[in-house]
Amino acid sequence: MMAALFAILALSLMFTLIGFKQSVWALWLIGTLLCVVMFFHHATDTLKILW
Amino acid sequence: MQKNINALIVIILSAVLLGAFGFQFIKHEEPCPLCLLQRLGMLGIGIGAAMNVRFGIQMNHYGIMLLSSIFGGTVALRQIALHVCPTFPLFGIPFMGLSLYTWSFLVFACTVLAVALLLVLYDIKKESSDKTPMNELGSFALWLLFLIAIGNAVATYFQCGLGPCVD
Repeated sequence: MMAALFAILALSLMFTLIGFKQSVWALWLIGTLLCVVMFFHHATDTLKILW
Repeated sequence: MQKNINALIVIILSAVLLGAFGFQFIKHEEPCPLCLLQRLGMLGIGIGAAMNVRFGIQMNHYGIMLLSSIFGGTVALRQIALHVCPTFPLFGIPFMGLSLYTWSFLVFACTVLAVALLLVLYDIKKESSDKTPMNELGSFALWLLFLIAIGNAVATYFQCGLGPCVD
């Protein structure tokens, strides 16, 4: 899953180099949202404190 | 001018990520899941700065940098909090007296400071969102970060596979 996140951000950088701005936005957003999900997956106690 | 500063930010972040790679492969220190999430936060900042270099300086690109800094800073702070008790050992090998996650938090904090300063010092004119020409520095910075992102994806795949990483 983490490898996929790096791949998504690498793809986002590739689209930056090519010049497809909308794709960069979409991939960055998907990547960041998945990062937040992964953070709470690895730090469930943080979620409990926030709840 | 601002484009060059953003290219420099990308190069600095690339250097930090290369340093983390050095710890991983030279000192054989496997990164934990929270460490990998901090690297992802740095890549997110790099994407915002890269967009400034590629598509021209815009407020929403700085927004990407700030959101990624907040994410990465939160992860780093959480890891600092895990090891804050004096009886609890530090994770990994310290660098210049500080653990890598403390350095990581400082990088995120400095990014917020740098973006705030750039927003205060420079007036941002509305530019078109089309791609703009890059100089050699910008091109070098973007390719460097792209290759580091690919390297991280491959290294993480061999460490964790396609499933979640083991804590």
